[in-house]
Amino acid sequence: MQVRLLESPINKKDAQKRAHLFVREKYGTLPSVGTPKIQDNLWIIPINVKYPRVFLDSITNKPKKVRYMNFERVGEIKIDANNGDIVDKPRYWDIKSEIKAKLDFVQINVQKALVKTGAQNFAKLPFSEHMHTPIEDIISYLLLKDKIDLDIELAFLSDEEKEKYLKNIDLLITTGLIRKNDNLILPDNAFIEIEGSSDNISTKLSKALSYFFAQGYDNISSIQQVLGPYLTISGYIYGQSIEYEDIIPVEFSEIQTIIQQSYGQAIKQMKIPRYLIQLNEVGLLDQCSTSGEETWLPKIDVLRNVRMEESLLSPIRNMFIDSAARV
Amino acid sequence: MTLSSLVMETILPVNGSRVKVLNVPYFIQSDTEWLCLVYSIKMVMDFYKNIHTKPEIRQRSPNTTRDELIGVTRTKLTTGTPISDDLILSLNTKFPSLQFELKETNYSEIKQELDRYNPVIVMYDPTILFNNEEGPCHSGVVIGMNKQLIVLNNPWYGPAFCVEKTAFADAWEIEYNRGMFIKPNSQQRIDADAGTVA
Repeated sequence: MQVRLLESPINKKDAQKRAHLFVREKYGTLPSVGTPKIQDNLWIIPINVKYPRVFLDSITNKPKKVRYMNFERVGEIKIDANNGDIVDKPRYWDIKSEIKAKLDFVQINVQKALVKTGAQNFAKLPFSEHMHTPIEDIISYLLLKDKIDLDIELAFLSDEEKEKYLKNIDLLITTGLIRKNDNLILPDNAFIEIEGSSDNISTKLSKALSYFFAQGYDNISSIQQVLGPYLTISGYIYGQSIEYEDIIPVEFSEIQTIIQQSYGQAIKQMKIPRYLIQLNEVGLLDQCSTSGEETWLPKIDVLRNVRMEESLLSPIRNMFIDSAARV
Repeated sequence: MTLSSLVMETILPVNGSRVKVLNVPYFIQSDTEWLCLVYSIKMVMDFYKNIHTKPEIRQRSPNTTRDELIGVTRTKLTTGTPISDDLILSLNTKFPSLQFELKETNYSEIKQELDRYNPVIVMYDPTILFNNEEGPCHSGVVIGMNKQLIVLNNPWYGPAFCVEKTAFADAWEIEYNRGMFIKPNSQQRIDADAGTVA
């Protein structure tokens, strides 16, 4: 006896087209659909994103290099194989936040690699210009007063401030700079090593910060609190050159946009030239003129070392797909 | 109609031959804004408004801005333009002197429109074109075509961007050969739509 299996009313090609048109209609032109797979009478179609990055030649204003960041399975669509109904789909906001999370992942890993590699340079930034954070307060306190009695020193702080200091103390403990003995915070081995040098006190602080950056790079949000716009600007400029595997000059207007997006404060705009000059002074950025425009680019030696941070950069390198722009 | 201002000749970089293309204005999109369809629509609308040699078409065609089109098309800067019947309805309602249509099409239909001095927007996948794998949807304005090549005003890759038709066919097919036709509406049609004709 010959058994004839009935073909699903909605075949693979139909399911893919239905999902494709749904994605275009609801999510826009950026996401695409992958290959449908059938499971329990449902077609499951992944939603993928190839996120284009176009580096325009500043003279011709044409693409010099196009690369696509590969974000796989930012969501999936389920289609009933019998009647073609879409039975499950992500919301637009789910797709948007997935894409943002992937983009943040790229930027954060570049920042981590930069902080780890350029720790000494960041630590040379003028102390008074650093953002005021508990990290520096704690290190400075220990340099001058040898120990912190938490019961006494944190007693008059608000709960919010107290929590902030305790969180940063925990972070400094993980780097080996300080240790905790009941309610006392004491210098740990690395701190003692730095303290024992013949440097002056501000150099010791700088060295302790450098050590903190190099050891604590993985906790980039805490380091962002210390370095603030310095890290935002340098991270963006190094990120461009890493993404495009080239030395990419960045125009001042682009940096303004990044600062505006990150801080949204007019006051920070006024400070951008100073940030750039200081990043140049500590050996993190170079300045050049491209087609009459002042542009900023990474220091080649630092960039070379950043690129060697394989453990941090290989996950994002895998996201990039090269494409020769045909112009 | 003075053809000299509507049509110009461009030298194709592929084989150095000449092809006639429509003199459609060009706008470039930046790295991080997914406005290819918005800029493509603006190119076509500006062609009718500023370049077309028929005074009645120029007069009736609306002036528009990038920001207005972002609003009308409900484009999101992070994910691009949702492409649907709602998009076409929204454009037709906002700009009644033009007729917008979205459909699956082919080279011969586009050629017919070009011969009538109507540029056509095509939606295709540039990742297929360059990497032979599926990626985002991109839009460009077809301004000319010959047997071998299609010429696009491409918001990323530049004005009069030439692609071999056979290569473009794969990149276009994956987006189901969709095209957006934008044509000037006749005055009668505008009046009828507005309910002013009995």
